[in-house]
Amino acid sequence: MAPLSGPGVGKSRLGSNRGGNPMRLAIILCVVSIVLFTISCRDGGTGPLSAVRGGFTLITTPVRVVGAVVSTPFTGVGNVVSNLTADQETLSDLKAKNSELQAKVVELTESSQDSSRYEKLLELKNSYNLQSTGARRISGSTDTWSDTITIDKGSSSGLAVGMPVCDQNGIIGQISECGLTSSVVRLITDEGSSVSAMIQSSRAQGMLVGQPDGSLSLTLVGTDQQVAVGDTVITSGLGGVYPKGLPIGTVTSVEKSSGALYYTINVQLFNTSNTFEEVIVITSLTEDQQATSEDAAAADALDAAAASSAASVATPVTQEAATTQTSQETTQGEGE
Amino acid sequence: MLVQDSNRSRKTVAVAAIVCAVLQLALAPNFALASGHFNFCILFAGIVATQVGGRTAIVCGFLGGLFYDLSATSPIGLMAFLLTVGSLLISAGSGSSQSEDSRTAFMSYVFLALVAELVYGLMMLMLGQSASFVDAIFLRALPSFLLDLVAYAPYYFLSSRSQSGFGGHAPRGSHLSTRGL
Repeated sequence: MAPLSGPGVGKSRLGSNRGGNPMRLAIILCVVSIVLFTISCRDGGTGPLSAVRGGFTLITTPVRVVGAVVSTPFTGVGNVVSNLTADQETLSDLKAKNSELQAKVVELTESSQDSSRYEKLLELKNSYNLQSTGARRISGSTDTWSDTITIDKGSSSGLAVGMPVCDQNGIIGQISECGLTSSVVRLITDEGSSVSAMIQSSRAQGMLVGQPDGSLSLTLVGTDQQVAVGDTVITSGLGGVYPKGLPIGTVTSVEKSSGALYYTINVQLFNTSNTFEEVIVITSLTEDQQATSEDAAAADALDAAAASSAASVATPVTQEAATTQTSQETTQGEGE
Repeated sequence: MLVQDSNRSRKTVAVAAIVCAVLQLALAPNFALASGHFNFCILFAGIVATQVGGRTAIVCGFLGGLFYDLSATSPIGLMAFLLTVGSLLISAGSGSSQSEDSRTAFMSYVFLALVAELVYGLMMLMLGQSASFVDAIFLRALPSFLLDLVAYAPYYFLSSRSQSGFGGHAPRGSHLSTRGL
């Protein structure tokens, strides 16, 4: 009996051998491959084969995305393993790079904050149309009796004594001394400082003065005026020093003593940190930044009203005192 | 019996094609050894060449190589040529279209994978797509070959079990074919 193995038995897969000589098919496919390879090398990324590859990539993208998602946890494990086996030189390099980058981050953070402050200063300047020049604070007060800062510009930059100085939040003071390349700014919190100010909502006029403890007090605001905690205090422009309408701070307390003519008002600056770095010095005032004659007249009217109110309070007291004295004299005469 | 063989061949090719295509697109880009990656197209060509053979193996080798070329960035046609020739050699070397036993199939696959990866690496070096001989062979071709062997391992395990557990096709040269006759 003929063995089951041997020649002739292996041709049982008719499907795979049907249709002719495999060698001829292989040669044809090899030629096709070589032609494709040649065309692909010559098309430089812009030919028909590149377009076919692009279409193939487009069709297979969903599968690639799924594969990337599925393999993400394993990629992480691989990173952990490679990190565990990192050599000393790699670790040293990484540490050095880390230190360098940390310093860079600090530098860039500082630059970012500087940029932010410059933007706000510029915003203030544009909002109020200030004719100004920028300066940087170079030192604070050198003694405990004055509240000042020193800035890095002086008369050589066009500055002069009396010019108001602002930061991004509003006014902070006035130049009290002016050298060639530096100037001393007396802050409004200094005891010797006074600023014509008013309550923004009620237009109540007053004088903002510094206190020994560094706080601010808005004085000469009549008790017949409207003032409330939280009201914004701005410059009034009277006196021609500070531009009209610049923000100063907010009212933190309002007290009225019995029989007093004026409120006792405490004000807190918008800049609560008291750390000024970049400032702008207002070099001149435009016409609309100065108090008008109407503003001055209104302020005078308020003063006059306050004065008459003081007088009317004083007159009944004088009459009462005279009546009391007369009655006392009568009583003494009867007694004699 | 013959119809069953034909159907089984088609089923083998279809399953291998789908599985290898998905693995080539989804897994191969995301796993690497040095700079080498899996090449599931070589796995596909090797399975068909060792289990089916003949014209089918040649065509599948060509199509598998073409699939790899389209999914990669290298010139189209190179891997198609290599796998066509490799499938032809394996089919011709087996002497028949009968499926080979696991060990013989494994050796054929090792030959196909090694030659394909090495020649491909050298061609990439000649085309300027690789920086140096060391990079092309030792950092790309050989690591890829090792990964191809890893990819073959599950198939080797399954085929060994199916041949020993269910009888499957009688291995070529087995004494069972002549026992008692």
